Amino acid sequence: MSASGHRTPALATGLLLLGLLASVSLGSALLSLDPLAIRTDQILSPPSLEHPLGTDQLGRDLLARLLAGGRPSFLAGLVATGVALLLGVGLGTLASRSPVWIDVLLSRGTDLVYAFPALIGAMVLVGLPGEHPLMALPEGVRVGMIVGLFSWPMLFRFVRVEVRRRLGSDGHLAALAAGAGPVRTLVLHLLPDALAPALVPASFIAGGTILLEAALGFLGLGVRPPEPSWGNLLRDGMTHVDSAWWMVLFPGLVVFLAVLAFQLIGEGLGRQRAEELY
Amino acid sequence: MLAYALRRCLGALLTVLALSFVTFAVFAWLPGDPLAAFESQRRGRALDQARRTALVEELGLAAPLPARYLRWLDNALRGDLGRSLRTQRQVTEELSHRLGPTLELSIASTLLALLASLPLGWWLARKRESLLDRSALVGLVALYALPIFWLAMLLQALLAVHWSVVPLYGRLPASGASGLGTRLHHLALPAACLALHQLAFYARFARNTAAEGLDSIQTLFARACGLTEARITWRHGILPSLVALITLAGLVLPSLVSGAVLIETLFAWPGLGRLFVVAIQARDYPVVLAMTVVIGSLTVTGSLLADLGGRLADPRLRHQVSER
Repeated sequence: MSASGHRTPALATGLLLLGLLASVSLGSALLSLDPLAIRTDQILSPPSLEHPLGTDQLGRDLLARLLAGGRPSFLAGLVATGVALLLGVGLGTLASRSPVWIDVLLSRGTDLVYAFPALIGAMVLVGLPGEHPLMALPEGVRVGMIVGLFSWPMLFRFVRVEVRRRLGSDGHLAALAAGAGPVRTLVLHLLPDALAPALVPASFIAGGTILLEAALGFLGLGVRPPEPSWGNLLRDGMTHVDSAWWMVLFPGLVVFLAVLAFQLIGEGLGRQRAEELY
Repeated sequence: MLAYALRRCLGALLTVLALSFVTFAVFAWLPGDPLAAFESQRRGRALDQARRTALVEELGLAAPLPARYLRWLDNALRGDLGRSLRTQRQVTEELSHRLGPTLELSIASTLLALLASLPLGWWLARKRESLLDRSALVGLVALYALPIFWLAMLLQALLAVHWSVVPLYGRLPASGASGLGTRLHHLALPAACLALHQLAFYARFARNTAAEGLDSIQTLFARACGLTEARITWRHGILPSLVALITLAGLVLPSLVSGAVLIETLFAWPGLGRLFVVAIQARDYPVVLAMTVVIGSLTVTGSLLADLGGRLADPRLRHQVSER
């Protein structure tokens, strides 16, 4: 390892990039851009002053759609990471301090979830009828919930091992000596230490979800048109790959930057942690 | 070791069984009316009550869930996975037709990625923590974050539309020509796109595992004993990273079948990944169930191989106390 002590540039870059993308995307709700306004006289027009990123096959402004499309993507990332953290950390902690048979049961169940191809989650999304209560939720939340249900095993294994590693540490023993009960030591002394390293896989999950949302939309299995999402925009781009380069270039670029931001945050946090340890 | 191996194999078998049952049960529980969809797919008309009763009878849907699952399992063990709701063909036939194209694409891209990434990773490990290494790592992180289907579309626009050096999509031309040159010509772009994504992962893996070996105290000792740098790199850098590569089997094996879903869609490649997406869109339960079991089995087998292979190749792992 190199000289330690400084914040890693990867982390700072990642946070900056993420903040920029998220604030532009969320702030765009305040602007008077309509992502659904159809202009039949402006079909597939290349970038211009009026439409900085061009228009799509229905003459809709790509910039407006790109900004609005970020909302379901970020929402999905947020919800998926939340669900994964809740399940992974909750069950992982439970497994780490339970009798052997519960631990074995939970670990086997995790192996089972891990073996499922995540794409099958899309089956649930496609299969829901319009009147189902889940359909009342925003699209991004629905996609995020499904992705989260498939991405927690990594966190489960991580937290289970991290909590175990801290059994018998000075902090743990001190808490026990002071008379703290099993629940108190777990929640106040073991878990907080295990949570900080869990942020590394969590940020990879967030980035992975944005990528997966884009992939699902691209395959026609995610957020439903005409509502824009980055995945849907890329799907539109696929059908015009030979005529409208702007419809391919810009949506992919924002997905790339968003995923990169989370990757950098994860890398940076991991590296920072490694430097603290050695 | 043998007892451990047997225990793990049994566990893997149980996981695959549980996987198929859960998938089966989830499909039964999913809201919606697959029978109506089935009827409109097959005959292009709405479903009346008499026809519904007849279909329930024909498909044996009146039986309770466990009984239906056992019947499916019994048939599956005899190699009969049922018929596709969409095409009415045997599921095994559907899968076997598409296995070849998928393996062609995935094996070509994995080989390409390994051949390019391992030497690159080892070279970076020799130069670790230099400016070159650091900037290459940033580049690899960026490459890994690139949405693979976006990269593929951009390359399509450039190489296939603008310069016309490769075909836009398809595995074989409509003219029916199927010589090796034609095949490679069609394979080049999709395989290269898939390979680029894997390269980003393998190169970092090779770099990190080799660097770890080269930073170890054994390397210091070897150098003190006067071993040549080439020999040290081989013994303490390259060999351990090759052994560590075995532990990736759990990731690589399922991706050989499922990894190319997006690329197959984009390039209209008639493989398993494409079939999976089409089956999900059409809610073709028998096909989706079969694909889930196939991919799940490969995931489980892969991690089993990774675990057992790793233990065979690396004595240190054998002596580690087993976590479970």
